[in-house]
Amino acid sequence: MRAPVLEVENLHVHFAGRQRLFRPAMPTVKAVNGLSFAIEPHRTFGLVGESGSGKSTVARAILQLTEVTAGTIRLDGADVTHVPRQAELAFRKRVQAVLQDPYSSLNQVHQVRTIVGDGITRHFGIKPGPEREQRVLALLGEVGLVDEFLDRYPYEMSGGQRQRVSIARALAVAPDLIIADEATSALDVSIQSQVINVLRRAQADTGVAFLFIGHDLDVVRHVSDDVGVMYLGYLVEQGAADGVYDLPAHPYTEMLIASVPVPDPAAQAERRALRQTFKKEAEPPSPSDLPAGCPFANRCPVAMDICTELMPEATAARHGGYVRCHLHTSGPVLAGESVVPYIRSASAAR
Amino acid sequence: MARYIGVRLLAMVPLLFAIAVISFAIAVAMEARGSIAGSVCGEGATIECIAQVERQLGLDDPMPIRFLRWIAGAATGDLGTSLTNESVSVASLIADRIGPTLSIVTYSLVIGVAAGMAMGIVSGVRPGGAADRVLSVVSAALIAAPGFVLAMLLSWWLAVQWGWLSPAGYTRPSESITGWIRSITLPAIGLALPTVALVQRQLRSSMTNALQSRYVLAARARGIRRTSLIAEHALPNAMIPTVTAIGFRAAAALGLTFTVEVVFNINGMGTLLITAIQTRNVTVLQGSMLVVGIVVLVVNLLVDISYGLLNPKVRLES
Repeated sequence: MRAPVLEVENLHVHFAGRQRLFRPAMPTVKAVNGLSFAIEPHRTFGLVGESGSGKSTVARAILQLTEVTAGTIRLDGADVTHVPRQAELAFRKRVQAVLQDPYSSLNQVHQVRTIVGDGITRHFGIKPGPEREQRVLALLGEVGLVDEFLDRYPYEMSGGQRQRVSIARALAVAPDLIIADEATSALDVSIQSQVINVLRRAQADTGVAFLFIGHDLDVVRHVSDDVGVMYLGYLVEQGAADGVYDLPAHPYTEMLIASVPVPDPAAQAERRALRQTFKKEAEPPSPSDLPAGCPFANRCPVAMDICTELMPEATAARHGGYVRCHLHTSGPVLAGESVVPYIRSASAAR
Repeated sequence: MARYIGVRLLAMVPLLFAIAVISFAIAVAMEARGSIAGSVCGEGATIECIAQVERQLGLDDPMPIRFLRWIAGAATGDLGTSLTNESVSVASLIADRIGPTLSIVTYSLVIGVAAGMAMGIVSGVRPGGAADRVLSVVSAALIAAPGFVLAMLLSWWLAVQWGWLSPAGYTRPSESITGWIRSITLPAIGLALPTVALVQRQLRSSMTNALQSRYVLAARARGIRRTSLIAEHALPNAMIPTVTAIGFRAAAALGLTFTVEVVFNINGMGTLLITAIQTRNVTVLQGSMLVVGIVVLVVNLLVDISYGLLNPKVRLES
């Protein structure tokens, strides 16, 4: 195994509440609480979770767009938790981003040649002109866009085409790591797979590592080698993508799997039945007022007394990764096995 | 772009007609209240005099005929003669007065937009910061106090005490360029102050929005320099609503020019219009309104063109 491109160790990102006159300050929002993972070159790490789970905050923290409260981020072994100003350009050259909504992440007053080209100018010093144009055209080819797109404006393109431009823009500076934050979420399913193929091809060609962030475990699993499941700023389960999907050891992971519709009616009926067991009406706790125990306890169909009292430690899971859930050490003591049979029998018993 | 401008020009034709109708109708409304002929003949006018003058001026013709005659004359540059002084044509009167007004309004827009943009960018880059707080108080003050009052205060130092600028009157550029600039600077500042505040506020808010947008975030993540982030990524987007505000302000400044003309004793279109209303000088009123209306149309055209330059989407949709 190669040395990892990116290592994140015990990452915490807290947003201090605004100070107010004559009233107590707004409470601190704890968006990310002790996250650790690593990505090797040529590989993709998927981060999955509901909205509000802190996925995008992780992306922003790595991208130096938000302040890290505690923990370490390393790029090829070098500490990049707080990149000083004079080193920022070199850092940006190595880490690029593909952001969520392709409609708002492209500047509407710029043509594709500028959108893709300005990073080339900034990082390689190639001024706008024939040479830069050649590079942009090559990049457009890589993401499957024809030469005519060079002088298109964003509003003249479809969502899928825009996202291809976003990818070309990220590839333009030849980075070692691309952070794709909900890069396919705004697209139709058929377009999603096209865009994912573009990402895959780029990875095969350049060896770029991806941090792929999404809320759809099905999509994330297909793209990723490893996945981490995030809930309220905690990684509750982590492991090989297929392992986590097939043998989910955390009830929250199972909930995410059950929430994705499948084409097979029998399987879909089963998922629907499973979905019923989760307490839909329960709201996730506020990240500014985290409970002492497991943050998922109030929505968990198989929660025990200990769950509301103690935050579970990470334990080894059958799929080779780890899981943070008391079910594996107390109660039924699943010891890292899949949680699905237990949830099923528990809900049948009720 | 040529097609876009062509469409805008065509759209001006019905507007031009509407302006002509309204100018004419307002003048006619005034005529109904105090007869034009009566004011020409003066006090103690005889019926014969009135009848003669009415025939002479064609006032006894039906309204549509009178309108067509007026509009046909206007098309050839003949707007009739002033009622208070028959030896002076309305066209020459306007030609004489429009120079000062256009110089002041244009100059005031240049000052106002330049200062307002600088202030708006500084404010919008760091909203809530020290500079923004100071500038926002300044612009609130500028909106609250009439510009011409502040310009009068300024004239105490700049014109009376230090003698840099001229405190009153108008010097033609043909006489002396420096004299011309000295004579219009204070009135232009007076007219520009509310523009500064307006542009600052609009640009501050649209700049703040633009800088919080995802495309700026994406540009930051790409490592784009902060100056180009502001100037090349955020500003072109933030200028789109700002240009609209500037267009409105240009039309308003044209209407408000009489305030500074009166304060700084300059004979421009504003004072011409006011005097025409006071003396019920219908032909002058009609003509001046028509000309001012056309100027506003041209301003709108310029705004539309710059809109198209800024926003590629607008260009395509036309």
